[in-house]
Amino acid sequence: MADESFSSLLQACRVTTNPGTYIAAWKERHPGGRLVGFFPTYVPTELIIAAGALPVGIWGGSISPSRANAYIQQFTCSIVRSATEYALKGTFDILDAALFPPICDSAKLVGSSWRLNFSDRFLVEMVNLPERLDSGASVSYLAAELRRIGAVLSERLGDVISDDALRAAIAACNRVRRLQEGFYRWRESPAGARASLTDVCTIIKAGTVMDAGEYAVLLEEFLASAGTSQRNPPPTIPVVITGLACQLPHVNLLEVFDSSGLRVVNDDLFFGMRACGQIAAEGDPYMNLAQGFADSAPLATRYHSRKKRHELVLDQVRSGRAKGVVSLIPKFCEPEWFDLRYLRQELGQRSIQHISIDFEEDPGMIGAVQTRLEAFAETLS
Amino acid sequence: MNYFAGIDTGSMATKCVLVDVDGQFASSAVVPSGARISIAKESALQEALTKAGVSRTQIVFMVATGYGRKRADADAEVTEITCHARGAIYLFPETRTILDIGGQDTKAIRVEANGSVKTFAMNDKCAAGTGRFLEVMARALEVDLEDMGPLSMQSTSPQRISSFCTVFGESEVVSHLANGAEVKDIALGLNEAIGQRVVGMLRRVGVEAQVTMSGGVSRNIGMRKTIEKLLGCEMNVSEHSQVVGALGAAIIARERWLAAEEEKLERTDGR
Repeated sequence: MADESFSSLLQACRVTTNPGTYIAAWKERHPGGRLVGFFPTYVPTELIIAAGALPVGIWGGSISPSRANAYIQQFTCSIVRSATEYALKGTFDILDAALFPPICDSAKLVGSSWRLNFSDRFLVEMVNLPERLDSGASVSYLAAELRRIGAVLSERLGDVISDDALRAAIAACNRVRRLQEGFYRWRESPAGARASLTDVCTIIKAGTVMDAGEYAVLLEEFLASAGTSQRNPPPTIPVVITGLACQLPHVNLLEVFDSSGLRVVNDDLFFGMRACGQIAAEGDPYMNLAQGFADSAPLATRYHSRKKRHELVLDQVRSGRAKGVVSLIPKFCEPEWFDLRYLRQELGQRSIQHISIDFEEDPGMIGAVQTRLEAFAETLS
Repeated sequence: MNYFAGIDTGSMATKCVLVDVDGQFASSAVVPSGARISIAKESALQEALTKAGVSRTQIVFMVATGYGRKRADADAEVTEITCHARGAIYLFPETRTILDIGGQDTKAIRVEANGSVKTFAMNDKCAAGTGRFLEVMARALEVDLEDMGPLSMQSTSPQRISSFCTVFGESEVVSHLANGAEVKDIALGLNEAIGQRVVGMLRRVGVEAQVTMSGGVSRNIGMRKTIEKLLGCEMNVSEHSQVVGALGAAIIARERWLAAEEEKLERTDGR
């Protein structure tokens, strides 16, 4: 039963392999419905939903960036280059707007560059998130910034965002975050060993394309029947992956991971969106959204003086009883590579085995990665 | 008598080692890999069998390693990291750090006394600091690969090669030749360029004595001396240095077979 319900969830989430088909069907069901793209790691999609639009994640993909290379340096991460390639190809012309958080120099570059080049196709707006989560001014500053974004979206999309609509959107996103948390708890259990990294990426990525209500129903139905059966996990080595908050590896790399003898019990895949947890629904919704962001766990792109990035990884190692940590980091991702030194130091002090592997959306020499992952599994066994 | 085979399918050479049931080294063979893994594997295996005077039916377990391990049709596959660790400890039990420079991979491995891997680092997407780099440069210098080491040792004023990229490195070599530089000085410059890169990799995993060098490049005396100078210590190099990975695979093959036999006995005895 659990296997069947997992297969149905996976099947329904496979929209991510061709988001265009899902979006076209959504538009048919919602005549005049608007689409707003958002770039990782975090944009408050509640604002987009409250404006009556469908939030659509901009993930890039495996495409040769021949046009984008004319605009962007080759030492920029592949999500920026491939997303720009799709934009130049016209793939994103179906969007009414695109929101970018200035999480790193590359994201600032792509946001500004898109605003200069594509503003005649769709609205391009930067959501200026604070980098410090615990500064006294962070919450009030972000609340004011979100009001500005709300006003810009309202003007462009023609629907005024009411406080009640925003509260309802917060409730819808809280539901998704709660269910995703439940899904991750299930995945840590012996029954969750059924889910490969490839499957989990498909399921979490679907949450960045599908309507929040439809997606929540899928997760709810699955979790209701999944249970946490006590069957023995397969003879694989449990590990935690970190470094995936912004970008997805090519499916070939995910499959190599799944056949390496390692089993992922937790990750930070799209964690920027998931980490906000449950946001208060009563009171000023803008202040609540800003407070939710300030209370979220730190990422490579968010700084908190007391909550440290490695503590999240250590918590995941403990709760998933992981034997090691794999840093799967996009090539040229400066924030992630900056954090790596500290993570390595903290893990080393606790004698937790660790390996770092860089990747691009184009998988390249997969054989070398396979050898390193299998050797890591052999080291841990 | 039963024998165990280890096959290492490298990018340039395929190696085979046979060990007997007591774990003693029986024979080895090295053949060019070519384009077909299965042909190179059969050819290496056959040569090793002939040298040891062993028939194919006496091989009771075979482990494959190297980049073509999954297509070598062996009883089990183990990565070259683990195999090099086991092979190096077999040859030099005091080994704690291994440097393996093969055709397309360079590996730095830290090992425990029992041969288990503590940590490791590998070059990823590029041939810089590998045997292939030296092969391309030897061609540009019109020198046999085997002569590069002795030739470089005649030099006292190396020509600096600053590029790690094989293609740009070759351009630098051509440019030095055009400027009238001596071949021996360029050869030493190449050793130093590779040496600095691989010693950097060794330092990433941490260097602990004793250091054992393996892989085809370990046969290059000039390269070895340059690395030893940069490291500040001597390295162990065995006469079997090119087949350390295959040796480790053969040792693991023996262990797995013995473990399976033990399990069979336990089941039969109902223990």
